[in-house]
Amino acid sequence: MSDPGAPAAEEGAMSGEEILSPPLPYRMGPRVERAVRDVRLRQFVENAAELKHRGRVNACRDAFGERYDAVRQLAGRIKQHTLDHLDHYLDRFTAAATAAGAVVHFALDGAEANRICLGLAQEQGCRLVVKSKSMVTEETRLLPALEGAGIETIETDLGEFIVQLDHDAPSHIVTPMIHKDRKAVARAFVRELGAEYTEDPRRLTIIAREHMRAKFRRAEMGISGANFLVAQTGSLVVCTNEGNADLAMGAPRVHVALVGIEKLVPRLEDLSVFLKLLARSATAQPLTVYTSIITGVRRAGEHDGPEELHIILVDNGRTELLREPTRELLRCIRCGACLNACPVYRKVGGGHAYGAVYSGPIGAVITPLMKGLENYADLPRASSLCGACFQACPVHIDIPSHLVRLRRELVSRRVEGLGKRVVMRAWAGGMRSGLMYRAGARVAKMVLRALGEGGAQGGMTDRRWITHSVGPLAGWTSERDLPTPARVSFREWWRRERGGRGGEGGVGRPRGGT
Amino acid sequence: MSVGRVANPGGREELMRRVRAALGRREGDAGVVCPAPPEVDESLVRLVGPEEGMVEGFIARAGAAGMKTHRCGEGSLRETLANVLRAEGVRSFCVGLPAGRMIEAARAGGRDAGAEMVDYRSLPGLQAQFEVDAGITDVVAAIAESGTLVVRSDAVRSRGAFIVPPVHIAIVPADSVLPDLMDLWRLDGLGGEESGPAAPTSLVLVSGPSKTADIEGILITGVHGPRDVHVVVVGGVSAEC
Repeated sequence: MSDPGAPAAEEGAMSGEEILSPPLPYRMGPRVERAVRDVRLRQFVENAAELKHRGRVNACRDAFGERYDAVRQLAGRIKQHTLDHLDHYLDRFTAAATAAGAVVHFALDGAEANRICLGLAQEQGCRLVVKSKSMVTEETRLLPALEGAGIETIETDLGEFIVQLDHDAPSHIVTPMIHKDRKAVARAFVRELGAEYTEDPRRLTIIAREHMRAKFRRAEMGISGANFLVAQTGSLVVCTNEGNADLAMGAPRVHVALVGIEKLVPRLEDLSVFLKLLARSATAQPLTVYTSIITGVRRAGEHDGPEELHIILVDNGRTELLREPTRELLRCIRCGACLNACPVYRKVGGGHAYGAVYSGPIGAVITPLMKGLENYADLPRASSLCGACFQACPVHIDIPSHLVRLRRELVSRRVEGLGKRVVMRAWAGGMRSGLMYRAGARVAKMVLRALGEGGAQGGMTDRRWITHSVGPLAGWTSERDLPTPARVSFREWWRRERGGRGGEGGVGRPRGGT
Repeated sequence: MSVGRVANPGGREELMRRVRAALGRREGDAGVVCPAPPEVDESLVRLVGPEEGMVEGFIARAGAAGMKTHRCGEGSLRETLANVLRAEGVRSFCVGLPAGRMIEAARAGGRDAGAEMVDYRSLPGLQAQFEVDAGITDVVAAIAESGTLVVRSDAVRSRGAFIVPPVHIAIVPADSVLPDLMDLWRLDGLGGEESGPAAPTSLVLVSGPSKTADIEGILITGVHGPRDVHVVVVGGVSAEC
């Protein structure tokens, strides 16, 4: 456990770059271990995620009641339809957006998206860029690309801003600094902004507001993502609670939006479904405070708004996911509900354990698909397959079945180690025949009972506990005790009591039971 | 309106080729007809119907979202605006209002409260609005279901009036209140019609003052946008105040 006086999040001192782009192949173990031992961090993340999870459940129930499942299936169908005809909707969007005065760019990968964006900034002679939160720019690592070229770039979402000041990495899709407390913020503001030390969240927020207002007024370029693209009108739809996107998109002379091609929806009216679900799923609100629908550039007679709007449509692996059977994963609207619902995400101290931009259940599926299963083999296994993510998903993505499919692929592609494959094959053999099962169970019982130590405990007369073991069981018993098998197995007991006949009525109580 | 373009047709071609390959389209198979998207089923998605008490519902939800609500009759808009400006200690403000009685009421109310109405065009871009204490706007509509104001930009309405100054005052005629978000897209001029005007450059649904809960989940208002949003509902039944 960490020193209780020390900040939970600054420990480890990895840079954001190291957190999100670790050496490959990535192993979850070390980070999970560190997070699990950091009790404060773990409780902090767990409480925050639990609170958001309960908020979502209540908000969806209060709004839709019995209809909720049908509504999220409808949302899933609309997105699926759009993806099934993505060629059509990309053309339609491009036509409408260019008609409204936007310049549309197509980027095949993250490096190209960054190159286009940097090129625009340099063309315009930009020295200061204000940026609103965008997952796709995390994915392309746009910030270091701009800063590396000497262009001052400010993240304006408060959470992202603090993460940027600390050279840290976001740990949640919606609330990027879910892993940081107010002390960490106070220290960052003293160190980086020369502010006076305060732990009052209101005063901290005002410090950030004043700092960033000056930047909004001077910036030559604003960068945003988009939550949706409307094919019908060529519009960007951007949702925030802080209003930073409206300043970033409205104040500078040039607006650049980087958007994944999967963000399309056909019509304005589809937004009714998605906006209602997105805000409730993410933060339990009926709508985000600001939902901004931006179409084209400043028009004749208008006094303000950007003179140039560049929309960079980003592939970066999405056309691979668009193939079946992974197409439905592109429905994801990045609400973060599956992260909050996931018992694993909560226990491993949040998103950093996943070693990539997208964390939690959705990250456990799309990260291996986008960056190589062999590089992220641990991720599909970091799930109990409890199904909470599927239940939480507002666009009805069956995440558990994708996790299972990836696990199957790990086996068939022999990414799994030899030891595990042998054990699993033996297990499969044992489960297929009664004889093998009985023989296996007998051996296992003998071994496990031999490992057991300590005397009789509780009501289970002869049950003993394995507190330390070696070999493949060492990992399990390092965190918890394993009960030894009962002296008489249920099958043996059944045969003795019922003579293999299995009479009618209830089953008698096993000897030694309660 | 200036016309845009595709910046890199080669990139577009390659990306579209990948998309079509992933969708299993065959070469030269250009004429795939896209069926109509699934219908947005009213019986599932609509949360508020056009029943009585819609204006009251809007006021309740706007209040729950953290906005300060006021009601007045047509004749007392000037007085109500003056009271809000005075209560907020506003010394200068910008407006995003068309010519007509609303802007006259704002000008007169400002005079009464000793607040100067500053033309947002007096400085380039949004700069003038960074200097003032409040922005007064009208709305395209208001939405009862979520307590939402819908504000737009055009030749008389800045993109900044609702977001840049620390106080936003929205004038909401009672007959502009719609029951549900579903009803918004049917209004003219928002880009929904086949051959109608393009969607506004900026159409923003505002549901509360600027908020953040990034620091330990504690709710703080006024992080980037206004810390206070006043909603003045004008007219409607039993509205004289």
